[in-house]
Amino acid sequence: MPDINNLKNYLLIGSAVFLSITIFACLLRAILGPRFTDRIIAANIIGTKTIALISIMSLIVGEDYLVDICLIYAIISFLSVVVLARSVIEQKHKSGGSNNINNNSHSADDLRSMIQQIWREPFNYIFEEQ
Amino acid sequence: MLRIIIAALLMLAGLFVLGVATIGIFRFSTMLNRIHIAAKCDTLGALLVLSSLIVLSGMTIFSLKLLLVIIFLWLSNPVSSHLVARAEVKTNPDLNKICDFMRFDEQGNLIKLNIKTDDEVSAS
Amino acid sequence: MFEEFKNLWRRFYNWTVGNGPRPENEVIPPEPPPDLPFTRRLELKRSRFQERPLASRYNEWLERKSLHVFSMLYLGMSILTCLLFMALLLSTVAELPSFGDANNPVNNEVIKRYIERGGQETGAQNIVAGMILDYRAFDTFGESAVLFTAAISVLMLLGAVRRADTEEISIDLNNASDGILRRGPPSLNLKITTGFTPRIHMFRKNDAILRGVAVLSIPAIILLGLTVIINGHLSPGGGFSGGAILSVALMLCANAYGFEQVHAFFDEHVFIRFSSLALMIYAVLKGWSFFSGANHIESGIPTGTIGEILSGGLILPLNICVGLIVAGTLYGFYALFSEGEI
Repeated sequence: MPDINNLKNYLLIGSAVFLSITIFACLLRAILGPRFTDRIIAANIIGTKTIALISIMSLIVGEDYLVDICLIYAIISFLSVVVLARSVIEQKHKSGGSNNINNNSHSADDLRSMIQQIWREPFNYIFEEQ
Repeated sequence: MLRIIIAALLMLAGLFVLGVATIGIFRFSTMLNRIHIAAKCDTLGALLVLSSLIVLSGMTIFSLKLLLVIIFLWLSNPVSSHLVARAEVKTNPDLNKICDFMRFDEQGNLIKLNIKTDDEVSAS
Repeated sequence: MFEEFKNLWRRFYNWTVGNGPRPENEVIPPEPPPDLPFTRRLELKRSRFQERPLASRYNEWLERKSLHVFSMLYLGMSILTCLLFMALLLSTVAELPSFGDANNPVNNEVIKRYIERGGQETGAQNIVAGMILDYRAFDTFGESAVLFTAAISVLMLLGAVRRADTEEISIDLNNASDGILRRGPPSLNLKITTGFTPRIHMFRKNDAILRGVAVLSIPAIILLGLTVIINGHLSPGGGFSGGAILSVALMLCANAYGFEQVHAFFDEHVFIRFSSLALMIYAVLKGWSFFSGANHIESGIPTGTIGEILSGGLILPLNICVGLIVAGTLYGFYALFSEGEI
């Protein structure tokens, strides 16, 4: 019967090695991806695999408090995806809607010119009644 | 001993899911399919791998924190997939060639159902 | 005689600039080339020096070629400089002592003192936190000051865009053009907004899915951040990482619920006041330690028993100050660069 500790060590170390190989493969997708959303997704996956890797390493080394890092990492990778995606969506919103989904939003320049016109000649817009 | 066998089974299943997902990211042709794969990998793979670690270490604060990590990952991952898919749909000009989609006006009423028939698909 | 000098000067000037005497300006026409066969005609060809003066040819060469030559030279020099620096640094690294050697200058008695008596002297279970916030608290003060300075300078620079939108106009009622005599304040000063810079948060649509997750996770993240800050002297963490987590919660709130919701309780004034207050409290607390230590007075701050929350002397308040500054700065940078205002 093989030594139990040995078996456990082999399991953990082997899985750590396999995980790191898959992380390199995901990095390839981050470099190759023709669109930027490919890269966001690849970064998210690398983050999740890193969480698993850190947990495995903390069991190998024997220090219990390294799992706090995993929690923080999960939060930060989620936040990064949220901020990136929302900024892209808003930029598209601001520059006059998307190609595929209809929305009636004026662009910033239209709004600015309209409001500046009203500020410059307010009385025109009050007394101009046809 | 039994604990190690269960942990090993869970870990191997988790690594299988992660490995297959890594291959899948390269094999799928369109972006929206790859988002699908990423969601599977993040939730299921992380669940299995971290569960095996919980089984291995028993009833400690370590396991509780890992449980917290699993819960947060399951909460946050669908939302990130949704947001990335939304960003993709808004900014991709070639979406017509990949999939069919419907158009709504601002109240949410359907104005156009843009599903191609078989003739159009074979023609393009 | 003055005319001669002026003539000479004009000729000299024309020679340098290139407006010198040209063959076609002279009265005597040049002699035509002799009627010789082709091979002999080549020998009588004018040299290039006589065609045009050197100055104009040099100027024309400058205009044509100087940019190209300069860019090539710049490229070469930059590559040379980089290689030189690499060689210098690598040769320095080769002379360093080996890693982990017991005779290294870094393994001196300071480290022994920190490890052996750090817990007892500072009262902190986490020796690293005890070191950066007790033995070396002045360096941490410098770090917090750097963060504060960076945030304030970015705020000053980007706030100028906002202030350019407002205009001050003044109306003088005493000298009104309609001739009516008025009694009242002699002039009226108004500050109105004439420009309109659309902010990016005005183009935000509600996202119900994100809100559903934010409702559950923002309190949990704030709790985690506070835990990491308060347990700075017991477990790894401390002010810097806890502050980063708090800023994550603020950013999530700004993304899910809109920028105005966070602006309602965390705007520019709150940020400046909190940061300044935290820095000043830090300075006062640490100043007392310096004062008491330099004058050999027993500082009356108890260290408590190791392992409890209320231990470690001043580490807990200092952690809180640092955490506040870091959280405010990180969120401030995000808000400034994405919206233009905090």
